[in-house]
Amino acid sequence: MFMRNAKALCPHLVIVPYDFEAYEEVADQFYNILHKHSKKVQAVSCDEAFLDVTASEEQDPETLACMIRKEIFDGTGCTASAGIAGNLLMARLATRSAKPDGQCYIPNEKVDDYLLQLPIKALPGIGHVLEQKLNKRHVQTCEQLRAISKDSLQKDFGTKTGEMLWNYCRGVDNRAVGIIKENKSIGAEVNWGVRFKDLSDVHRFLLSLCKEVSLRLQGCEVQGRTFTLKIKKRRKDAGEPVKYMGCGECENLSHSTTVPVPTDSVDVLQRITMQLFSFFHIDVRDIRGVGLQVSRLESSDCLKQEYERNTMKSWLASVTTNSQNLLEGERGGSSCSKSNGNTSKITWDTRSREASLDTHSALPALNDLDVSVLENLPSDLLSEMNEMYDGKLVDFLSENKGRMKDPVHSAPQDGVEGSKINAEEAGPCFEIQTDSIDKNDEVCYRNFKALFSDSARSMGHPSVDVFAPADCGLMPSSLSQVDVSVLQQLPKELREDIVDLLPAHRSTNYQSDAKKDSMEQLAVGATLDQSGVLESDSCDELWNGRPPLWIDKFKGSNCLMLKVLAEMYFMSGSTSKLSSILQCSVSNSELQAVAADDDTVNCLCKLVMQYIQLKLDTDLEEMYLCFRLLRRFSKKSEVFRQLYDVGYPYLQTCIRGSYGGSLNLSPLEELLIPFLPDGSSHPPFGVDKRLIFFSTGLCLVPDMLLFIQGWTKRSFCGPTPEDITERTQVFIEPDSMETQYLVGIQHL
Amino acid sequence: MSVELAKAANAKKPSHSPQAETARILVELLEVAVTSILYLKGLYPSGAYERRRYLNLLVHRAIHPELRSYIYSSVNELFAFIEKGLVERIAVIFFGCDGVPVEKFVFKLHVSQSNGSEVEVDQLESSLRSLLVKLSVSDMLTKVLPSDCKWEIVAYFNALPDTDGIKETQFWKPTETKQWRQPSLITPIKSMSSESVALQLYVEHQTETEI
Repeated sequence: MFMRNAKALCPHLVIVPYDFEAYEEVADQFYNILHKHSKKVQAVSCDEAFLDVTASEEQDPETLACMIRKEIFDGTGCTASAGIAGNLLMARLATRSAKPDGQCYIPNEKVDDYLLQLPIKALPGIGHVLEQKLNKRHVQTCEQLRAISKDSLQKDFGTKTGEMLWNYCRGVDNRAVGIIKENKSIGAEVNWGVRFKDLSDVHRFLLSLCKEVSLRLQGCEVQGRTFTLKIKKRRKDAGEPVKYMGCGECENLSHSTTVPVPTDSVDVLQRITMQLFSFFHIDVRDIRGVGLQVSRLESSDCLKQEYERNTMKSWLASVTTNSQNLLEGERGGSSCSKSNGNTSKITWDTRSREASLDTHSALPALNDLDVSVLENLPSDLLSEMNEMYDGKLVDFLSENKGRMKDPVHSAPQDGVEGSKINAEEAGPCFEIQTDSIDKNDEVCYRNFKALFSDSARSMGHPSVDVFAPADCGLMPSSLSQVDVSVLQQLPKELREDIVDLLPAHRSTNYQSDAKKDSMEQLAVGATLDQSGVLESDSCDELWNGRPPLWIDKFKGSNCLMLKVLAEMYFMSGSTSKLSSILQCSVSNSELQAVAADDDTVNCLCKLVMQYIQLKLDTDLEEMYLCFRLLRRFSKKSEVFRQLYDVGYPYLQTCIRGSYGGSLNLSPLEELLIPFLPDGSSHPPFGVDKRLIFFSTGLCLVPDMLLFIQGWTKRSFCGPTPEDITERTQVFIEPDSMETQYLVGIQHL
Repeated sequence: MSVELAKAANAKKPSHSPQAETARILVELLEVAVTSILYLKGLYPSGAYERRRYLNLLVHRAIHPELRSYIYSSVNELFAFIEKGLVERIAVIFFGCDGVPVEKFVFKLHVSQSNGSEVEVDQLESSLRSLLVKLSVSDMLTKVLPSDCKWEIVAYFNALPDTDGIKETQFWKPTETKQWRQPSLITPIKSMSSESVALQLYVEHQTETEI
């Protein structure tokens, strides 16, 4: 009844005004009491809420309800009613029976009794329209509704509504208490008191409306992309509305538009709203209601919101910050160990610079020394070295004097060799001189000169000029190919001379791949001669064939590690990718325990070097993966440490030659993130600490990216899409501190 | 008469040669990939792109006509050279106001010139798709760009093309971007190879000079 009618009927009517402050106070108290009794409170309105009391101390729900109601009454002076049941639906229905000031408990066994005669319009979610539709099918009570099959309901009313109807009439409700629903749209609408005189009225109104909506958007911290302006237009034949200043009978019109960039700004909203309003061709005096709705909402702090990014990026960001902190610590630690560690073999690694300062560097084995360098050493140095080797050095030298081990002569002219040789020759002198750096430089300089003069002589050039012309094949053909670490340690004048002599980049002179490969193969073979005893049959094509030739060789060898590695080839799915084999080997404890011996290391070096040559021009990614894995390995296994020490500089030199830069294997860990198709992240498969098995169903589809992450600071590189087969097994290296692993697959 | 005609027809390489097919696919991919790189780096606001579907993936395309035509024409004018295997690398270079590059995204190509069998389009497409996906999540590998940076597309040839018959060369001019003094640091993003083409995508940065 409208107020004016009431007043007409009852002239002395007392009208109680609103008291919003009091309502707020009561509501606060009400919710405080509720929160005391349960952790899961779902608010429905300022005076109505659902509580999940499954975990309550008080076992009897009726007693509990009684207690709460009493507290409410004592605290606020208002009575309250409670409905108690096994789910949200029944509890709500129970409350209706309980009102006023009462409570009603519907235990599970009484549900059917309660429902059977209940009219369907009593069910929440069934409004006027649904009721009419059901009435047409002669359904008035829940019992009658139960007679209709679920399929039939879903076909007529849609999947969700059909299911709801089927469930509700049986008292089934699976909603959990406390689920917060995200707003799908935000807006503001005014339908009462709307009377415009002219266009400026409307504009002012729309402006205020935009301000309100913008505030609401900002309040929920969202931005939207679709804007809908709704207008209620008075129907032509409608008289004055029954309700004073109401909207009366109207037709609803709306126009909407979508923008690409989500926004919550008042200005943008205003511009859009004005534009939308211009689409209505309507007399302003006929407007009885206006509303603005914003949908396609996106949270305002992550602006880039594509589906993949939303899930991937926030994971990447959050774990990066964690790992960065851990990384700082690791980096600090490892740099200390670098300077203390020494190399017992000759290496080209820059670490040897620090090793030279360490007075306790172990002597390389006699066989490891480069004879040609020794021959060229000044006599005082040679005698000093000899003393270190207890006199054996001279004998060794005389034995090997005849043998030309100088790689200069065995390799044809190619600028790339030049830089390798420089590094090689420079190597031993760092080992010997442990007192001062100056002496180092001097020795190095003399060695350098000696090397050139020696070969210059042998080449038939009369001059003993240090810088033999570039066509003697010793000098690298450009600065980009010079080993920078060596260059830096040369004395100043020498350095400057080299820099002046060499161009920055070699001229574009692309030899065919095959030729380049074979030359560098020879260099590989030659340099390896220096570092130790090779297998008797030195084969250059270890990676040819399926399975590659090295598998058989390794299987037949005496060394455990080589045998195991060959096995790993088969375990990793018989792909000829070294990275897969290494991945499988990561957690193999047999491999970790193997002690380092020269033979093994040499075999592995050869294998890796040939692999580098094979993949250099076409597969940087594979190189990257292999060396990341090798590096990780090297922290656990002496064999791999030596392998890495030899392989890493070789890799960088090769890459510098082909690409003009060095491969960045720096600490930034690649993080691979887990997802399941539904966006959750939960290991779906059997996961023991090291092995993750994939059920066939999930792996058959090739266009999936596999991501695996352990919560460790070390990264793990997953197989590429092409590699996933139904028997893909992926090993994660366990970290003693971490036990959690997340695994997932994302469909592309 | 007919023999001569047949000869003439054979003299020209048919436009559905494997190289042409590969080059077509590559050019299309490059257009998408370059736009993806721009999107990744956030050089232009995200509203400057529209979402499109390519190889069953969500990708972006520039809306602004000038931007779109720059990217489109740059890669399409390379078509003839890519087909002949003359292009070695194509780089998207971001450089600051001093002309020194901050970051380079390099596509290293090798189109096989041998007259082999048909191009395996499906396999090629799936490799390219994985490249694009990897690219889209690679922003961790890259640096933050300074606010006033510029960018350009640079192509590196391994032999200068002979100009007769190819009119596209006029659209390309020598780059003025400066070189880095030290060798760069390379971080690979994706490498793929097949019978007809080998394509690698990697990022280059300046080596941080210590001391």
